[in-house]
Order: sequence, then structure tokens, then C-alpha cells
Amino acid sequence: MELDRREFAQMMFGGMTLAGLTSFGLPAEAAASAGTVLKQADAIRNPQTSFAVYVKLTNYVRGKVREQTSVTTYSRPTGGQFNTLVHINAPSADRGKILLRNGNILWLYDPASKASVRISPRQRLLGNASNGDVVSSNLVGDYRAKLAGTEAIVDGEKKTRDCHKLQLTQAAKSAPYSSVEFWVDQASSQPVKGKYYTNSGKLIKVAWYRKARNQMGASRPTEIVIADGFDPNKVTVMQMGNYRAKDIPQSWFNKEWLPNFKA
Amino acid sequence: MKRLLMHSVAATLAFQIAMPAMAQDFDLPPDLPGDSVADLPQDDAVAAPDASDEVPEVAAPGATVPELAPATELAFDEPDAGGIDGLSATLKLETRFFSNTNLDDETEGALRFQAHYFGDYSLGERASLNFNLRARTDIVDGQEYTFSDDFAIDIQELALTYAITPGTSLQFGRINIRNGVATGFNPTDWFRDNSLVASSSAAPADRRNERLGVVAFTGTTTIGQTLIQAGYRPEIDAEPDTLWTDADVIGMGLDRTNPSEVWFLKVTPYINDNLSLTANAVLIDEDPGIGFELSGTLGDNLVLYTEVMGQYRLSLADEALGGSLGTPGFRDDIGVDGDKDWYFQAALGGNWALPERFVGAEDVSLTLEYHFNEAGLTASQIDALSGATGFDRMAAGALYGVANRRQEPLARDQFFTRFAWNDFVQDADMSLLGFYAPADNSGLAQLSVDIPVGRNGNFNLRGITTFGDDRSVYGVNPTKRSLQMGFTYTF
Repeated sequence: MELDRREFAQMMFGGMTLAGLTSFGLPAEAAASAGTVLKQADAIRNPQTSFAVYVKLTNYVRGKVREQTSVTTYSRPTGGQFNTLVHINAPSADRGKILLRNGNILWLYDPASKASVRISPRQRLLGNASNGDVVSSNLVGDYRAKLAGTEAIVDGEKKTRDCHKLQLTQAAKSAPYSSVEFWVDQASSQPVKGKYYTNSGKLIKVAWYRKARNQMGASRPTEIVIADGFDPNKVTVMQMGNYRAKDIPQSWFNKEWLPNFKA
Repeated sequence: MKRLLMHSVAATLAFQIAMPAMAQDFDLPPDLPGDSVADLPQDDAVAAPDASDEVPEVAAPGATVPELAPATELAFDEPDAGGIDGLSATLKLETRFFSNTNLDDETEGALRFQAHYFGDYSLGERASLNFNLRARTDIVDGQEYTFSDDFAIDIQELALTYAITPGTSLQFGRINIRNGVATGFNPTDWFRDNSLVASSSAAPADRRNERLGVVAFTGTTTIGQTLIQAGYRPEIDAEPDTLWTDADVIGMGLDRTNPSEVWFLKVTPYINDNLSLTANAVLIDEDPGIGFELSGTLGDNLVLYTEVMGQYRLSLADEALGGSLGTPGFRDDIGVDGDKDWYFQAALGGNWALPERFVGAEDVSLTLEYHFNEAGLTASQIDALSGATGFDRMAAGALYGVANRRQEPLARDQFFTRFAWNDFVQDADMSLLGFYAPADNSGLAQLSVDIPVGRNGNFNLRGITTFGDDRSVYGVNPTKRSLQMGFTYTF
């Protein structure tokens, strides 16, 4: 229901807000720069072509490993965003299950019953990582970006880095968070850290992007440490590896195709 | 889907860390044992990016996903399990104890062992064999165990798939063709009739795992952004007591799954990035049916859906009583007229994942559905059914049986709800579901708790009860209560 209000407000005031950014004194070049910085960070977070990547998620509670999941995600760019299939490799109880994301459409497919269940973006499948974390997505398009200055912050490897600080506000209904504070390395455009907020302004999670490695032609973070904003004892580590270009037909991103999917 | 990992004490200590070394404002990243764990092997050999927009060289296609290096406790299974090239399969072993109480308040115990093996085996670049097999045996307190009667192997699925192109495939064999978006009742699920092989749960999700596929030939392709599926299910008329029907141990039940000839078509067009629509048409012998399912989300939390099916068919009462069962007065009272007609079925509902402001980071969801079955009974017809006496009791029994076999609501109107709380205590999941028939205030409730044990085990506690008088839609169920304990281990 809240989204209704949000969508309504966005419909009514979205254009005014964008126009207002310049009329209220934010330099046009700064607004453009915010978009450019975010776009560069997006291009580092995800290859902007069809690709597959192996992802391992480890959940910690009070420092103990509580849960591990490994998935392979298959992503295909479409209209500035990605369609994604997340194939679960482990644990064995979930092996073969598939999460399909096509815009705001999310399906969970179970190979044992050949059943697909429509789920909401809010429903979590993989520990502290939300569906939105696991599927590939660009922040550009989902959020309006505004430069909020520069800041020296401690990165995921506990080194101090000079960063652009971006203030992102939700622009698309498929965006999983209401707002995001996002830090991007000034020198390399590497994403460094993100703080993600709900509609009510509550901090829901903090993510550190680290361990940059060369993958598919770019130096990309291969590990994301996600701390739960509600309970700091809960931490999820996403490790990404074996990025590879893969031609993925559009037909795969249809729930009726899922029984035909072969990993 | 959350699995609790219970490592050895030593392993746990090895990964024990202090409270995350972060302030509440998260200025610093947490200290994690993962920091000492080797990274996933990376493709460092790839050249660093330059200014060009060219698609870079990548790892060789088909390269296997590397294992995590030294931390064995953190290591994962390879994506292709089973140790055989091309085989991707899951084996589940389950032991389940039942304590069932019947309508006379007599309780009996039973024990079931079952093995469920499903997956697919690649037969080259384009072809694969899909299988879903189950072996089960039941030992019932007070009954003599006879292997031929009490042990069964079910070939739930066994089909060949051939991909003509990446977007077009053909499938032939025994296939579980399942349609629908609703949780409690799927009007568009044409092949649910007589498909259950064993039933220990009222949860639709569990029952979907326990059904026989149909022998069919299907094709799937994409035209533009529209996915189209077409298929044919032949009628199979086989002798009783044979491998093809109901022979001991390995009767395939083809007479159950293929009792008539069916042609079908499903069309899934792209509408937008929120609405999902699948329309379908079916021809069962010469009786047509047409339907659709539609779903969409409202905000981040709410999924709304509906599915509707209209079919030219007999009503439940007509099918059960045929031309002669029951007295004329009783037949009139429950609406038997002997004619086929167009009957509509619908499910309308939503799933609401409770937002953070109510439940914080907890994963809690609520499903509510209304079910309509025009081929079922109205309140007055249900009243007449419950008042059946003498010869009409047999007719009433037949009607309950047909509704059960068809897996569709006996009452014209029904409600369904499901409340699920994942990780309600540590990683244990809880769900509570219920069916309710307002015509006679009867229903069924099921509480289920799943407690992960280790990486691959799951302990399940389940309680099922019906309510309503002994002749009501749900109260007539011969098992009034069932308490169950099960343990599943997945390889």
C-alpha cells in the first residue's frame, strides 16, 4: 500500500523533483557527475553484457557460520537493468531450485514438484542477503543519484579511501530499498560501501565491497560483506567468482520455461 | 529454504569470532573468520580493463566452478552432484512416524520409509533424461506387513527432453505438467485428477511433490516475447494388475494419469515488468476448457493473483452419482441433472510478506485465498448431503471420494490461509495453514515445524486436525487428527 503512495507521489512530483535539483541550486554538472560516478560503479559491480557468475553466501550469527549457500546467477541486460536466474547449487536440500527475476516479477521454482511460486521482493531466500542483492542489478535507473560531497572512509579491508558520497533515492518500483548512501572510490570508481534504508528511514543493511580482482575485463569486487541493520550480530558474506560471458536467451526468463532450464 | 549448519565443536571454535568490531553506525566492517579463508579462485589472468567497450576475453565456456580452497568446513558441493558426468540429482531419504486418530477416536500408529530420487542426466549438448522416482513402504500398527502390498515404487516422472534451439524444446515421456499460481487450489491445473501417490500432508506444496506425471508429448518455444507450449496426452487403456496399471510394487498407474485424450495449449505473453499472465486452453476428449492465471505485486510486500478456469464437464455430483446412484429425491437435492455444462472455478488471493516496520528483519508471510468451484455443492446441497440416510449414504460417500480424487473443493465456496514464519527460533521454520468451508463451518488446520539438523538433515513435526461434525465437508475425513514426526536427509 505504501508503494501506491510512493508511486503516486513519484508520478505527481517526480518530474518536479528532477527539475528542482537544478532550480534549488545544485549545480547541473554535479548532478551529471553523480550519475556518471554511479554508472561507472555499476559497470564495475556487474559486467554490462550477458554473463554468469558463481556466488557463495556464508551467513554468520554471532561470529559462527550458520548457513552456506552456493548459487550460479545468469544475467542478461535489458533496458538498463538485468533479468536474472539464480540457480541454487547447494545445500543439497535446495539443489536445483531457481529464483527468476524479470523486472518486478520474482518466481521461485522447485524441480521436485515442477511448481513455481510467485514471491515478493521482500521475501528473503538466502539469509541476510535479499533477493535484490543476489540478482544482478544496476543502481542507475532504479535510484536518483545526488552527490553528497567527498569523504574519507574505512573500506572493507580497513584501509582509508577517498570516496565520492552519493545519496540515492528510489526511482523505480523494482528498486529494493527506499534510499541508499553509497561511497565510490574517487580514483578508481570502485564501489566501496553502501548503507541501505527502508521507507521509514531505518537502516536495513550495510555492505562493504572488497577484494577487487580482474574479472571479465574489469577489476571488480569479488566479496561483499553485508551487516544486518536490525541485528549487527548477523553478517552475510557474498563471494563471487568465475565470471564468464554467456549468451542467455530471453526465453529463459519466463516461469513457464523453468522446467526446461539446464544449468 | 534456510538450512542450519551445525559444525563440529572444533570447527565452530575455529570460526568463533568476537562480536563484530563495528560501531552501531557501521563505520567499520565486521571482523570475520571468512577474512582468513581463501578467496574464490579468480580469473586474474584476464587483462585489466582499458578504455574500450569491447567484450573482453573470458574463461573458457563450460569451465567448472572452482572449489573453495582450504577451509573444508566452508567448502561447497560441486554444482553437479552425484559424481557422474552429466548427472544432476538429489536423493532424499525420509522416515516418518504417524499417530492417526479416526472418527471413532481410535488411534493407530504407522511408520513410513521412503526414498525420493530426482534430477536429470545429460545425454549430450541437446538432450537430457529427466527422472523423479520414489520408493516407499508403510508399516501399520496392528496390520500384517506384506511386501507386495506395502512396498511401492512410483515412477513419478521419466521423460526425454530435446532442445532444438536454446529457446525451443521438445519433451516426451511421463511429465509432471503443473499449472497455476495460487497456493491452496489451482483451477488451471488440469492434470491433478487422481495424481496423488501418497499423502501425509494437507499442505499443497507437499502434495505437489507426491503426484504422478502424465504420459505426454510437449513442445515449448518462443515467438517474439511470447512463450508458447503445446502438448498431447494420449489415452492409455491398459489391463488391471499389470505393470502399466496397478501391479504390486511397481504399478505405473497409467490408467489413472492417462484416462482420456487431451490436447492443450499455453500462451505466456510479456505484458510488463510486474504483471505475469498465462492463458491456456484444453480439450479433454471432446470437452473444451479455457482459463488463465494472472499475478502482480503491489509494493515490495504484496503479491496478488488469480486464476480462473471454465470447463465443459460434469458437476462433482453428476460424476459421482452417475445415472443411478442415490434415490431420486436425494439426487434432486444435491443437484444431479445428468448433463454436462460449463462450470467455472477460480482462486483469488494474495501473499503478504510483513514489512520491516512490523517484524523487523524477520521473514513472516501471510497468504489468504478464496476458492470458487461452480461444479461443487451449494450450502443447501451440502446440507442435503450431510443428511443422507440408508442407500443415499453410499451415494454421499461416492461424492466425497470424487472430490478427493479430483483434488478440488467439494463446497462451492472455500477459504484458505497460510501463515509462515521462517527462522522463528534460530533457523527453524513454522507454518500454519487452514481450509474453511463456510457452508457448514467445517475445516482443516495443519501446523508444521521444520528444524534443520546439520547441513543436510531436517526434523519435521506436523499436526493436522479437522473440525466440523462428522458429516461436514471436512469433518467427514476418516482421519480426524494426525500427529507426525519425520526426519529427512538429503544427499
